Amino acid sequence: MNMVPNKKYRRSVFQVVLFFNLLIFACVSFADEEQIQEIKYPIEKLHETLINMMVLSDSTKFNKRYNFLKPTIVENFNIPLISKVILGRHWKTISKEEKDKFINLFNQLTITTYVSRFDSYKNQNFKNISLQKLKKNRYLIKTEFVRPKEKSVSFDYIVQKDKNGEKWRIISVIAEGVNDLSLKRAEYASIIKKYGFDGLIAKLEQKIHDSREN
Amino acid sequence: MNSFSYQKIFKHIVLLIMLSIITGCATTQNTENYAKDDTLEPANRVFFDVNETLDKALIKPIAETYVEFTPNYIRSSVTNFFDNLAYLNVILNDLLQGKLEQGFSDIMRFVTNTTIGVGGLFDPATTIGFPEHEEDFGQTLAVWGVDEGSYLYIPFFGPNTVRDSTDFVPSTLLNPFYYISSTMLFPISAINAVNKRANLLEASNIRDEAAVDPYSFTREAYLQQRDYLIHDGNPPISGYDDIFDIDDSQDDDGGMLKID
Repeated sequence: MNMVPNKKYRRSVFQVVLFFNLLIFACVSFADEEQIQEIKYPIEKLHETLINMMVLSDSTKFNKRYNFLKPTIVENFNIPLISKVILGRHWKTISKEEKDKFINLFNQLTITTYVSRFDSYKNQNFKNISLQKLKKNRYLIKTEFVRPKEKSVSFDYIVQKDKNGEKWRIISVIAEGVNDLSLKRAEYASIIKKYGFDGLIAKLEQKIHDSREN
Repeated sequence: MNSFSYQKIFKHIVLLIMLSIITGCATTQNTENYAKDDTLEPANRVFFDVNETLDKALIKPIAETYVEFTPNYIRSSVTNFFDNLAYLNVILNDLLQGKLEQGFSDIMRFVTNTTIGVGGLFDPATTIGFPEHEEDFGQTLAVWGVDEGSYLYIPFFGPNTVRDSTDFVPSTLLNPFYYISSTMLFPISAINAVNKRANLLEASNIRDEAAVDPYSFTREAYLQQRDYLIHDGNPPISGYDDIFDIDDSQDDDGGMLKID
């Protein structure tokens, strides 16, 4: 006699447990999915803006495209952190004003480089490949720039939350295995050794000027 | 002595010089990694400047003219032809690295492109499903655990390392061109050189536009690209973000500045 309600009771407990398990699983998956979207956002925003800028490129002058791209770069790259890593040990030897000047100039250089490289639209598009966790809550996002009739170019990004933990930002770009950060770190160290920090600033200003003129 | 014999002797001398440089460097440098320090920088920079001057004055303008007056499909066939001739070296290095499946695919690629592709002028193999791979003896030595050694900037050949320069020997010996003695050899080699330079125009323009120190840019990009190729486009992710921890870079991750 006792078996029937017991069985029923066990079944309902099982159903409740199953329901809560599914609910928790759904919540965790939803939270994971939400976090993944947040992590990927800076890259997706950058790619979307680059494609839109390329579509504009035939009819729009350099300065307009520069202003079109600027907010996306400022919002989605952590240029102050990138600047510090690029200058390496020299960062500690320069004044606050010089740091600000470098950060500002490097921001301009980043925008200028994107505007001059992504200057025509021939049905290219970006494809997401994978997302992997690195050390210290950094993530590596692998993507591909697909060019019809030409070899695709791999673009990998490292993203990290900014110091106040508000937003994921791009801290490194790796094109076809070449890390822009290491490249510039080596280059700028060599220029500072030869011409000093002011020499580096002069060369960067010249680069930005030349790109705008061409 | 006729001109054919001179060409043959010249090729052997170049090969012997390269061999002696490579074996000499390899024995003195041992297995320590010097490339990061660029111990040969003064000499490398001299050779880099010589190459750059020669390139700007002569080779680059010729390559640009070649691109301007040669239709895309012809340039593509020229590239296919020379790539196919050099492909035996890729197959050898597939096998030396133990990549048997890739080696089989590359043998099929070579056979398909040499026959159906009319001596390598066309590339039907990619469409059929035998894609192109990039392997060389420098990569094989890396897979075997040999360090890259000093970074070398070799006149006419460009960026290299002691380890990577060893590829000169198998790539020369496995290229059918090495065994051809003909007055046509020099003009054909010249077309190959100009075509190769033409294919690098986009990359060199990007460098000229971006680099503030072209020598360091070339060196760093070369070394990173090699590492990428050694790992077949998938380098291990450990160490990917080490650069952020070298100088404790998190200290003043500042707010955003107003951009001019």
